[in-house]
Amino acid sequence: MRKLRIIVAKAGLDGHDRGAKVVSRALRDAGFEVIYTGLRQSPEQIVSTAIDEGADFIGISILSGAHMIVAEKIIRILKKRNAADIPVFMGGIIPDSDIPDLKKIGIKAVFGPGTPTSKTITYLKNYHENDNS
Amino acid sequence: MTTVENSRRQLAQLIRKIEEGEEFSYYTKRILSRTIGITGSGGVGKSTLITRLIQHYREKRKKVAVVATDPSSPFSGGALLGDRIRMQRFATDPNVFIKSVASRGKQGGIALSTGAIASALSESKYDPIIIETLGIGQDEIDVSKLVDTSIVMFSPRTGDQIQAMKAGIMEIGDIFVVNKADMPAADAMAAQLTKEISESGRRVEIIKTIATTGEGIDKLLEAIEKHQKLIDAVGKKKESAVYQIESILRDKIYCYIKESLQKKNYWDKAIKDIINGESIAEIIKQLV
Ligand code: B12
Ligand SMILES: Nc1nc2c(ncn2[C@@H]2O[C@H](COP(=O)(O)OP(=O)(O)OP(=O)(O)O)[C@@H](O)[C@H]2O)c(=O)[nH]1
Ligand SMILES: [Mg+2]
Repeated sequence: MRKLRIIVAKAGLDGHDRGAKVVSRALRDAGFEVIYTGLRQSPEQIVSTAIDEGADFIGISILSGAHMIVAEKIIRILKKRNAADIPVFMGGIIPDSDIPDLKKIGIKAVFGPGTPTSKTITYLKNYHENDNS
Repeated sequence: MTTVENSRRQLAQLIRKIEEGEEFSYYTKRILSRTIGITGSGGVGKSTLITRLIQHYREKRKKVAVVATDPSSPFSGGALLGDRIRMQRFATDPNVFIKSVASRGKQGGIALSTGAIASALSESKYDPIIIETLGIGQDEIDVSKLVDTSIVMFSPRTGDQIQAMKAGIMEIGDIFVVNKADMPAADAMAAQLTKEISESGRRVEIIKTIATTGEGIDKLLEAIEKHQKLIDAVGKKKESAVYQIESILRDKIYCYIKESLQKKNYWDKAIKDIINGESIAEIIKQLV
């Protein structure tokens, strides 16, 4: 069976990496191949990594408040590089009121603090199945 | 969108298919580019050293690729691939291609698909191709069969493990690197390796490096160059193709036997019998 590969990235100057690591480990334990980019990634780096690694998903962890700008840039670069078919998800500290706008930009889903990792895993697996059926 | 970007995505998608066991022809294709393997225990500095090599080859205007391996969990089948964290400053360089692969149950330090991925990269004119093994410190010696030049890395901390590694890792390697030469025990480590090597009668250059600052990298590059000239003179080793074909064959045969036994429900029965105390040797005789 085809493995699911996901990029987990920290964008910009945000140094909060606990959540990203928790999610990365949980995804690994659920059978995903997780490519963790480490801190301080530019949107260009994130997109290039996702393309080269043949990723099925991009997961951005962001607690700095810069989620709107980062999301907008990543989606724009994905389109420019003809890779808009790679779905982008976000997690971290993101106010509920911003979620509709993020979805309008093209972010598929947002997983805030306290989201049980099992919920994230089920969502990603279902997303992949439905997307490919 | 330019065609360059398009073909890069095509290459990435081809590699992804290879990784999933598709595009079988790449599994038997020769790798024409120069290949450099880097092996050594976890945390010795393989990825950091590789960034130094990438930097050098980029200065020489070469297209460089890296295939870096991390272990798959034997329980979940998942993996956390973190080698590229150190190489991310090259992520947007159009002439650098970095691919992370999970070992997916394969022993020996590289994935079953590593050689096939290297042949795809070679076809796209990436040269050299650098291969990082996983670093769990056990028998990561397969890479030496696959690549032209294999580098075995040590750090002062691995000193006390040399005895244990003698049988495997000490027998491979065209170049030995003692990394973390900024740490006090590095000289003792290099001396011990020199002794081991002279006793074995092999000729291996031993080079001290500090991957984090770049110290010693020039000497390492000289040694790599020297070794590659040797390869150029005698031709690429046949062992590489043999290794690729043998490992894929072994895997295919195993899968074939397992699948056909499963189809006839022999597999589950055999497992049950073993659990119930039947002799494993006896069961294997019956199965095969
Ligand atoms: C721990 C912490 C720190 C630690 C970070 C340690 C580390 N290495 O991670 C330290 C002390 C270093 C720190 C520093 C700062 N912090 Co702080 N920090 C926190 C705190 C208390 C908890 C964060 C945390 O680790 N949570 C635990 C993890 C597991 O949860 P999580 O990250 O939310 O992840 C979960 C989900 O969001 C989701 N998820 C997360 N990522 C992803 C990714 C994907 C793909 C998916 C699917 C899901 C997902 O899944 C996870 C599990 O449910 C929060 C407050 C809070 N309650 O969140 C403030 C907080 C994030 N920090 C804040 C601030 C302001 C700072 C500083 C700027 C403070 C300062 N003035 O110096 C610095 C900045 C440091 C930097 N360089 O970025 C603010 C941010 C405000 C904002 N966004 O507008 C917060 C919200 C506190 C507050 N209420 O003001 N901080
Ligand atoms: N002091 C010192 N630290 C180094 C040196 N080279 C690498 N390191 C550090 O050693 C740690 C591990 O380095 P990596 O390059 O990730 O090692 P690795 O062998 O690729 O590790 P795995 O892939 O996990 O097996 C990092 O914190 C590096 O900064 C060195 O020459 N001196
Ligand atoms: Mg590494």
